[in-house]
Amino acid sequence: MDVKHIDPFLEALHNVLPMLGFQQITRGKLSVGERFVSGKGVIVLIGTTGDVAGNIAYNLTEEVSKKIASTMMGGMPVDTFDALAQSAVSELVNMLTANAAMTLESRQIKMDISPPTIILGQNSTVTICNSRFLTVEYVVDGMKIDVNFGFNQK
Amino acid sequence: MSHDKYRILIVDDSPFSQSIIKSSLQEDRFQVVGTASTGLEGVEQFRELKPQMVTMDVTMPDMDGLECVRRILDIDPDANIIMISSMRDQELVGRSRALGVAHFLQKPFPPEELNRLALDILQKREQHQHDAHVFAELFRQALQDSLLALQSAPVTLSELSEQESEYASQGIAVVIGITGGRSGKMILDCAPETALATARRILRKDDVDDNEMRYAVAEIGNIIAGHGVSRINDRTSIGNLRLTSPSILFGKVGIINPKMIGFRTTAQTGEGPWNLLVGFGGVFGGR
Repeated sequence: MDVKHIDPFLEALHNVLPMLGFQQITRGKLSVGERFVSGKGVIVLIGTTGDVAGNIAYNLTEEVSKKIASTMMGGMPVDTFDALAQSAVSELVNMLTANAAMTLESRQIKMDISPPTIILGQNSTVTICNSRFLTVEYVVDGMKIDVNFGFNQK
Repeated sequence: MSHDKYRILIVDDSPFSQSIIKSSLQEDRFQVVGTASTGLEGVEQFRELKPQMVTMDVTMPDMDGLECVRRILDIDPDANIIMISSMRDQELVGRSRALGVAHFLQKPFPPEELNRLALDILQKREQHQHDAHVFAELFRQALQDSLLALQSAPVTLSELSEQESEYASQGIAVVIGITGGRSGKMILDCAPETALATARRILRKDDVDDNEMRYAVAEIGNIIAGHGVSRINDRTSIGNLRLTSPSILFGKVGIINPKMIGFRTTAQTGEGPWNLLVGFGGVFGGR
């Protein structure tokens, strides 16, 4: 897993989130995962092909998902994680990944993205690659989001 | 011929703006079925008239246009909406995108611009719906062939049915993304006992562990997706579709595919049923 491939995704968080009404974006610790991602309640999964190929899984609680959707909609109350809130969170992951793809392209690295999938459930585990993956913890306005990168070894 | 025209609802509190929007739409392609001057009227007319497209003003006396959009999307999540506003600031665009609205026009706009945008959105959607169905059928054939080769016994497949955006997993699901000229995904899903029995038979051994089972299901998913995409690439000029590496989901999870035109088929095998979901779109503005 090449760090120069991960950076654009982290930059994307700092580029995109402020445009959607989020204020404080803090990177926490990095760790390496061996087997699978254990879901906190909501996992948003997005796949990539090209020079950077694999899967990225955003792992967060349902409570955090609702708050994120609410902030994105300009503070509209979101009481249940319904279709509209799901669509907002999935759109966020779309925007983040598309932003990373643009940055990569400006560095002559090609990457295409597939549509996001949302996985709902407390006791879920997701295998995102056939090797070790990297987890980067983020805190956005006090909300915890783990970003897991499973890019395949070339 | 009026039934062939696209049916449009205009939501705008200014009579002047309403008539500008009306006159910029080609009469032979569009029929304005309603004009609403308030957000509430907009929601009511949308519910009654079921227009194929809505133009939405951002500022109205009773509610902001985004609130009106939210209520319309509650009625129909797939509604086609173009936001029309004199403002186009970052926050407004961001909030619209959060709601899943991709199309913005800033006043004043050249008349042909609205016409072109509206036609483009509606024709693309029709084309994508048609393609999604054709592609799903090719995946269904790929599933049939792959299972037949793996099972060396006949399999029965149900006809394609439309799949809602939310799906309840039987316990194990492989998700493989599709990129290229059309983006989408394929999901292969079964119960753990089905996966276990299948893995045992393919690997020709009794003691199959969890990991071996996961990778067996992932590999079956890879084979089916590979065949499906090859068929699409051979038969269409969409541009080469490619596959992401599989993710393997474990647990009785809900799998949600926002804004996706999805289809599903069920294959009955000796080990149990497999569900195959194939969907296209789902990307911003992809429907």
